[in-house]
Amino acid sequence: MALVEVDDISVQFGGVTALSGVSFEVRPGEVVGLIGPNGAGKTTLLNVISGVIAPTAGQVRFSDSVITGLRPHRIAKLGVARTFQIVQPFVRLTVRENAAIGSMFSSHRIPHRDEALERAQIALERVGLAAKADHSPRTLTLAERKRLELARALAMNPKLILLDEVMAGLNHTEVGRVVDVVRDLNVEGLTVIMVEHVMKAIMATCHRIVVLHFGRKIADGTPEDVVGNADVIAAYLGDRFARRRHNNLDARATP
Amino acid sequence: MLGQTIINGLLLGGLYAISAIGFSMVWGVMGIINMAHGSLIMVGAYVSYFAFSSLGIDPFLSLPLSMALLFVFGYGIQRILLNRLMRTSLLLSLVLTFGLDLVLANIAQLIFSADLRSVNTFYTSCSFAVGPLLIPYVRLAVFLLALVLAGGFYAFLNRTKAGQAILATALDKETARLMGIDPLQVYALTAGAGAALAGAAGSLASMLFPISPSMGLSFIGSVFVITVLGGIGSIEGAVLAGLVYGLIQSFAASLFGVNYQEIVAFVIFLVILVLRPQGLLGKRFYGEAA
Amino acid sequence: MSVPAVKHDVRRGAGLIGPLATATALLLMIAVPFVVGGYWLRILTNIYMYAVIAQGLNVIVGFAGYHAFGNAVFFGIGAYTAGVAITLGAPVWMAFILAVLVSVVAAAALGWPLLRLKGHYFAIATVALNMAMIDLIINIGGVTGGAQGLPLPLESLSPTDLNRLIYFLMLGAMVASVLIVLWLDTAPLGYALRALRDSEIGAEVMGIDTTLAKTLAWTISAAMTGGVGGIWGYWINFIEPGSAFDINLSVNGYVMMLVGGMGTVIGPVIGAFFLEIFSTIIWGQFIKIHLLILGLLIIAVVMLMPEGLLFYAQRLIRPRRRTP
Repeated sequence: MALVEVDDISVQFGGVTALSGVSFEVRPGEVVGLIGPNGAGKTTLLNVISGVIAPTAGQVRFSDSVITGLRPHRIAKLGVARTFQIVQPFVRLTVRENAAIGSMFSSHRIPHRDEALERAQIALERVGLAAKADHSPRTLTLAERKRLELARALAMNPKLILLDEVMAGLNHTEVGRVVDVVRDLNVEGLTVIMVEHVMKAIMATCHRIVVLHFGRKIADGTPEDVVGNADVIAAYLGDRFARRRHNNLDARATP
Repeated sequence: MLGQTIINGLLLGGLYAISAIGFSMVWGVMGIINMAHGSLIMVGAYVSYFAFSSLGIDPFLSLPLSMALLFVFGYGIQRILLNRLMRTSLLLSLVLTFGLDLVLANIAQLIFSADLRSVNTFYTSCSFAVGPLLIPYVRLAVFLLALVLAGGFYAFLNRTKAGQAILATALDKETARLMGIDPLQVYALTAGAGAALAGAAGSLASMLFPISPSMGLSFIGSVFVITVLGGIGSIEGAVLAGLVYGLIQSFAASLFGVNYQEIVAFVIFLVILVLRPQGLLGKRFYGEAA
Repeated sequence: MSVPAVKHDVRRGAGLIGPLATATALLLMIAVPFVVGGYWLRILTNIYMYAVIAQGLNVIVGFAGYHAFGNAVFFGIGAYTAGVAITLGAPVWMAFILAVLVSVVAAAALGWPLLRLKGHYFAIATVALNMAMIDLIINIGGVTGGAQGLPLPLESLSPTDLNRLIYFLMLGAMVASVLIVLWLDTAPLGYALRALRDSEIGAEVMGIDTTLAKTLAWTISAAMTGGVGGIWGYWINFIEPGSAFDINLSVNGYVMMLVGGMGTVIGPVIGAFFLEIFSTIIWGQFIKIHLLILGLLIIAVVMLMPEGLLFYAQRLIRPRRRTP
């Protein structure tokens, strides 16, 4: 039984088609990577799932109930958390309070402030930001701000987390750190949809990859399948390269 | 009767348009809402009054004078005070310009007292007739001048380097900077131009109405509505909206009586804000993104 | 593992004044009417009234980040509600309650279309609203008295007693407003507002119903402002649209909130004291240029200390604060 069902989602912005008939499933406990060249519609898709944008057509179902048309805060309370590509921490709250917003408002019952702060602290420890809990987000480096984005989402105790290019701008070591955190969380049962350009992270964490190109899904399978898929290669590297590679493979196949 | 209402509305609309263009551009380019704009109009009016009563200069001739003086003033205020605020909070600029408005209105009151003054030339009450319609010469002249000024400013923005620099900065400050344009200089220039146009509106207004230190207050309301109605940052929009506003005021006055004019204006204003905030011809400018 | 308590920094908490100082101040304020004459009594009463207006602004502007420049509209609504109620025979205490209730309803109703507007648009819409109410009252006329104004039935209390009563009412309102903001400071709603102020979409995806939060904030703000509006109406005994909906109420309140420090608990009160006393002194010495100096003061405050007195005072006392 799928946790998330994206069913024939289309999004039009005026004359521009951002997404066209995209469908796929995410099963509980999966890590699904969402990749594609720039402009493919990946962030738009995350926006649709989290309720920030309403699709022009199609439905999204979460745990079998339709969530399209619900306001983002309702979807959040159902157990969906997300990070933003351009990090926007609450600058006038401390780091811990930023995370505490997640623990305060993500369920229907609002916990006592101290409890919320405790849960926030735990989330911060998870991403390695516990030492900066009382600081202002303005004093954090980019990598730390990205980790704060993650902590805010984790403090919500979600069932599903949508990561929007959380690795962008991070160096080698930092990427490794975040990958470890995501892997551990997934082992504990968290389902992840991950938009990424950093292929190393995708290959290290994803059970499945969905590839978008100009708003359409062009591939959906295991990392090995997707990487060898001709359409995917054509999308990223161009038709000529794909044809050449195909010809080369053929040539090598015939003795 | 209907025809006269329309004529009155259109002629006045010209003045309304020119009173709002400067305000609209400053908002569109820098995102600054200049609460002192009404007082700038008032200052322009008093410059013309002073020139007329003390120096005998015809108000049409003192128009360039008030424009020049107000350009310098607007440029200076932007350079010295407002440019610094741009970095911190745009909304504080609203508060600052409100303070400025208080200062200007009260200085004017100290100098000229609160009495109403008027500029009465020999041609002030002359008019000519076109069929059953009565057209006062002054009103027609003001209307035409307003359109000329609006057209001139439009040409300035689209045909000169300085004007293009302003438009470029409004669209994308960072790229403009990469092209060698200094945004702060552009802002100061825009503020100066906006103030100059306000001055022109004031001079023109002085030929039509009695003036007082608090006349800015009666202008600022309509300036807001016209700006939002026409689309923030759009000159064509301000002109169109000014004419429309003039017509609406004229009809409201003859149908409901002068008292209802303000309510009609505010209702329109609120309706536009909620239904179509980009106005009739609005463009997306720097201020819009905020 | 123990969680260190969240330190309240200068933006929040009761600020400089500890509980002992607060108690002392309160006692002094209670004793005042029996010690000073009518002139200073009136000034203090005005200060308390402005403090509440500033606190009302603090909730919608300082916490929620919605700059309601025309918030004084609720002051007028409260004043007229109380005035009309009293004219129609209601007891005074009921008139005050109605003033608060009607303001709350108005805020909830107006909030629905207006709180969708962003930044500048919202600010101006509230100003337009404020102005429009003046015209509305003038055109409704009837029981509101329209342009002529609404005279209230003469009070049976002696002037001294009335002034003292109003003093205590305003003092009570001020204390209540501070308590409300104090509560807001640590309540979930307060956190929700601060979050949505910094990033509305960020708040929304973390589970905050931003529409509800904003509307609640505005109704709380309106309740405070309308409440003192009602008291003022009763005090002044003659309500006219120009003064009940005077935009200067908003402006002064806004500057007081800025001067004292927006988003703090006690800042607006400090701002009210500072500005009113400053104004009164200036008025006394320089009647003619009183507004001019106010204008210059506004410019100075905005340019030099936009964060407010409280922030800079704290900086002086604890220079190694590393925050915002």
